[in-house]
Amino acid sequence: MNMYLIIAAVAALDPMNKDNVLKSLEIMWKGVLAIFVTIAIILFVSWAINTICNKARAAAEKKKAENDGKTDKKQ
Amino acid sequence: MDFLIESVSQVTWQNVLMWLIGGILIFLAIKKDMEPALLLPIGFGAILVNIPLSNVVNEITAEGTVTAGIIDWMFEIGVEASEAMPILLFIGIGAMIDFGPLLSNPKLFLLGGAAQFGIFLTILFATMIGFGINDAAAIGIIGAADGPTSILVAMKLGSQYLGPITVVAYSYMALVPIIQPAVVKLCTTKKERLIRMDYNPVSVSRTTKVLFPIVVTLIAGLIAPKSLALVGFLMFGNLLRECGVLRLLSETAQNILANLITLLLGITIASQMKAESFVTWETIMILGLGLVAFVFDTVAGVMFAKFMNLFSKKKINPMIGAAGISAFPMSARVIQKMGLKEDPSNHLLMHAIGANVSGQIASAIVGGLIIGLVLA
Repeated sequence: MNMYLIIAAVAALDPMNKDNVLKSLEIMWKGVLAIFVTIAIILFVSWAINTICNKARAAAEKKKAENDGKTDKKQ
Repeated sequence: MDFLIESVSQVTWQNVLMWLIGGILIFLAIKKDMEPALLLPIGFGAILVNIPLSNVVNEITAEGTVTAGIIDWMFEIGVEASEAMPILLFIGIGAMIDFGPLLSNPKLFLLGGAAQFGIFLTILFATMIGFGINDAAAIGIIGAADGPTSILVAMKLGSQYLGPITVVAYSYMALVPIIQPAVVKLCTTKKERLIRMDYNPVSVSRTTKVLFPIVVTLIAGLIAPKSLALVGFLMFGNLLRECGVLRLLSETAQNILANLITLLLGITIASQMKAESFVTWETIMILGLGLVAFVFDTVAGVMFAKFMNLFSKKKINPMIGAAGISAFPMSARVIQKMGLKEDPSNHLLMHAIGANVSGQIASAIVGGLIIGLVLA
């Protein structure tokens, strides 16, 4: 329904305006697509970095705890 | 005695109207505490540049030579020639932002993206009522809810409405506490507004916080290179903050640099508020379109949060979506207040801050995307 309204409104415009409206529709679909693609990539990469960093930190802490345990036993 | 009334005799009703507008902006800044750091300099500047024969704006002498006025000079050097002022302000904004709440709940990134939809819809409406594509795009970016982005996009696209766009953008940012609650209430049910969101942040390592600005710069730059002036400087400011070895520079960016640029930017923008170019029907249309942009950004953010709830086990309070516009940190505070009003034990601030800072990044990227798409 809304799409028909937009098409009807575009058809009623003068040619110069029509070009601008069509360009704005093009900007809309390309812009919305591009922002979601960019955001999705940033989301995925930052999640991956944080997960890897947290796992590495946990592993380092575990290793350190094991080393501390071994040192205690030797003493 | 003519020399005494030389200036008075040249006052037009448009000048008087601009003095009134300047007075209203100063009143809103002082009495209502609405974006005082910007509305006060803009308001005073509006009075300053609308006094006939004022030497703060460029004067054309009888011989035809142009004498530089200080405000026009600051505009030419600081905004027109290099867009330096709005871009440098982004270093300060970046240094102020803690992306921790966003990084501990990355799905909030999507809300920042969704809440930019009003920008595109406003561009469509603006072209339908007769604005050219460059002006329409510059008007639409008012929905970025971010002054420097609006100024930069309007400048890059060569819009003739820089003054009205800037004033409207900052005015609506100041009106977020009035606009957003009404719109959010219209798009949500009482039950949705009561959705509880516990804050159990995932720990975010320092390495992640340091890598984040670099990664965002690379990704945004590779997809939307025209956004790099904004995103790059925003992320540079954030890197200063998170690196941990440049505390003094970070504090300077957050305070001295940001304050200095804000002070100069406000009065510089006033150079675009001369009566002959400001008192027009187009300014009133831009006022209306700016409101459309803010309203539909808010609606899109809320609706997208509802859409996300269809797929997630942990429900999101849809009000959080409204904070996806980048009026930082005002929008997040508004949502926190609304949440507490519905349920005094439901604290939404950290979630709203996450969506809000995501909106800050997304709006800068959208600014660059629009420049690229319009000039393509």
